[in-house]
Amino acid sequence: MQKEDFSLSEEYEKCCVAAGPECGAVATFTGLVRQFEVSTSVSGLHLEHYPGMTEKSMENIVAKARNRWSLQHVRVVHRIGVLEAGSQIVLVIVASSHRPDAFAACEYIMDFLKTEAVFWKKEIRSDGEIWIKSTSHDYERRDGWAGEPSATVKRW
Amino acid sequence: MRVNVLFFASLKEDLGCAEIELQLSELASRADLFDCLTNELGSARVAPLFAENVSIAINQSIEKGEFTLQSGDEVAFLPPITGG
Repeated sequence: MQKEDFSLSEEYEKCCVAAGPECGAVATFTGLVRQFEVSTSVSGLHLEHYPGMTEKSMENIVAKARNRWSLQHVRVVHRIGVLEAGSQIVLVIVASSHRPDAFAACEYIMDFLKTEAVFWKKEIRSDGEIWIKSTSHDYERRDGWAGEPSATVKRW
Repeated sequence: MRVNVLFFASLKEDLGCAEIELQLSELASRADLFDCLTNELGSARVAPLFAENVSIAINQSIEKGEFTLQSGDEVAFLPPITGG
């Protein structure tokens, strides 16, 4: 977790080094601050967290993913503070021997970061500031992982 | 005993404060906590804390049911989270 921006290429290199010689697949996801939200212009986001509990919630999500798939390395970077529109917010990099585990675990981690990582986002809009609410779609995506043992099942 | 209570995000703005220290009796319950907060801050101000989608964490672990508090516990009121 950090206030400053991150470099995808630097984090990717670190992941590859940490993953070692058995790594044959690396999946990455980067989340950005949208500049428009339902025709409203967004100038930025304020990201609040709960020091200590936020880190634990992220570690728990990664631990669940590592328990579910065979992964060589996982890196998650989540920014906090005030971010301008277009900025990078979150980065997930997952390294595995083969692509199904890397793809699935990357998606799983993002779906759980959305609903179980202890952060709160406030949009700074042209018409005021509002706290973002999770959508039913976010919860449906998280719940879609319940009881599914295989990384190769097409869920959506 | 003293217990520190934290409010985050929209709740911090609604209540107009980020934290408050409460003086509670030993083994205070969930109901005792809400009673004390209401006495300290007023019923109108604490109303957002009663919302169904607000979670309570004791020492950074979510407590969905009943609980008893110990001296020095950190209580946090969390609105629905929006990470990622």
